[in-house]
Amino acid sequence: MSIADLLIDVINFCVQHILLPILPSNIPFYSIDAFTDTLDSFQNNIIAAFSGYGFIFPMSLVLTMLLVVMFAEGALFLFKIGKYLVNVSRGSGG
Amino acid sequence: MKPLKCPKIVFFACFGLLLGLSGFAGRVQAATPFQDDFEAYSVGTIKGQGNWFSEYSGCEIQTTYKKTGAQALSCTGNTAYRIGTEALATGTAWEFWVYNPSSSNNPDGRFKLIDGNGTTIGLISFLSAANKVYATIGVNQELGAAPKQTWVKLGFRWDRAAQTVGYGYNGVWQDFAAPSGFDQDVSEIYFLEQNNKAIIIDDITGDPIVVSGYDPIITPTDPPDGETTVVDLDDFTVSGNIQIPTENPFFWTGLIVNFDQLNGTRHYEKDFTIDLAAGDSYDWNATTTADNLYAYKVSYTAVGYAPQSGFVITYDHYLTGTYITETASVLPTWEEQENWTIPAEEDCDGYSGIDKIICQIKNLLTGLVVPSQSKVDSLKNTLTAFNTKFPMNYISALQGFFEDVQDGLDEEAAISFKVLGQSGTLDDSFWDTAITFGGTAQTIGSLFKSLITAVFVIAFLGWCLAFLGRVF
Repeated sequence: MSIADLLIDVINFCVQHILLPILPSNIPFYSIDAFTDTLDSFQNNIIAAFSGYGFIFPMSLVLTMLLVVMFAEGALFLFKIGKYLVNVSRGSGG
Repeated sequence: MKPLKCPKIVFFACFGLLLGLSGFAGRVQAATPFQDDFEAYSVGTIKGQGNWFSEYSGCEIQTTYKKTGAQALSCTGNTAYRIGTEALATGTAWEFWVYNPSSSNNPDGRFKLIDGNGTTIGLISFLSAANKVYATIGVNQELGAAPKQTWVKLGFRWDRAAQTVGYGYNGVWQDFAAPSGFDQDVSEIYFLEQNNKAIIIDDITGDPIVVSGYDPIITPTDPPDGETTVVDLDDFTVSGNIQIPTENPFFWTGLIVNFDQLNGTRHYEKDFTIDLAAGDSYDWNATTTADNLYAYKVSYTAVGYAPQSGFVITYDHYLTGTYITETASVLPTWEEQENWTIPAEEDCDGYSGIDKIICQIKNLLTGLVVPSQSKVDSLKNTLTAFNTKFPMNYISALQGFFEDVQDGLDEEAAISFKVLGQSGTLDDSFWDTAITFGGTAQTIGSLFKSLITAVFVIAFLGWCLAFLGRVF
């Protein structure tokens, strides 16, 4: 068994026995099916609204930027939550 | 196993039950595992009621604590075991609810699965003092917590042909190799509490399962198994054959060909109503239509039922390496789905002397740090399962949304409008007017788009600077 095998075993164990049992497939009040349906209808609206304007409006660029902004802001938000919890647990305040 | 849409199962199951009730039954019969909600018994000892036995005075029927209905079984330093009075299905899953009614007492519950020889092939230990539930025969595996005053659903399932015993905890199953000596069908379920503290059991349910070796044999012709196929899904023929082995005890009423989008949530299916029992076969052939923009994985689901009980049975068959798409432009997505492969070690036979030693050392070091293919496959399966959980599935859906919008936008579509009941399309010839700007000939449209792009890029750079300021 290689070192990488051992690492994979650890990752598999953590994911299968810690994460998978506690992570839900759906969040309350907004299931993945409802979320997908919402995105589908939103997608259809956007496509219907912006199709034909591609020659003057850089929709792909806007969507890419939007995705980057959402990802970065989400990551920063999660980082700040973690930092806040660490500070609270250390007793040094939020 | 991919979850089926409920209405489809219900349809096929109802169809099958109607066939069964109309006298279609009479072929191979599937045994019905017993179920018990303890509602039919008199309050007091269960010993002697409903084929329940005990070594001692017996666990008792009581009305204070129950999962459903008005009664449940309570064991306090006593046993209750139920020996099957009818032939059991070759493979079965049993589940039952367990409850510690006290906020301070620590019952020690032991639940056993026993075969026809009296061999214990499955044992669940409900240890309230340690707040643990263990599978303790054949394996020593923690299944979950044993909380006080909370109902917990435990279960056994077994497959004697495959020599496996599975343990269930709140609907999550884990299968393990059966202990040696499992050579008779299961005939007994046994409840014991051995710390003189009450433990409640209620709502035993049983489902037959399709055991190994008796699965329907699904042989797809088109798309074929194990090959990569590029087709036009707008007009695509699916065909193949399903055969029911002679030992299979169930009736099969439906076959579903599933098309599941890779990296997305789109799902199409072609349904066939079948009427098959042991020894029967059926050729399916139909033309289907689906959205051509995406790549799909194909799988098949056979739906059946147990003739006596009506329990719904499903069996899934997944094609390996077959993806369906219309255009080559989607192929990169498809290639990302190929299995992760580990490079083979270098062949050192062609070297001699120091080169061979270096080659062997390199292989040795590689062997230390490079994972085995089986581990990589298991990691891929684990991550695939992880991606179906929150928040990964929501993030994946969101990512798919952005990709789909980008793919779906038609830059050349006509812009329609309606004024005072008259409709028309916008004349965009103005934007095609060529002008010279900065010494370069270009259209007004492309110039305008460049300006808007510049505005967005500047705004994006501004956000980047502000974001970095907030980070550092």
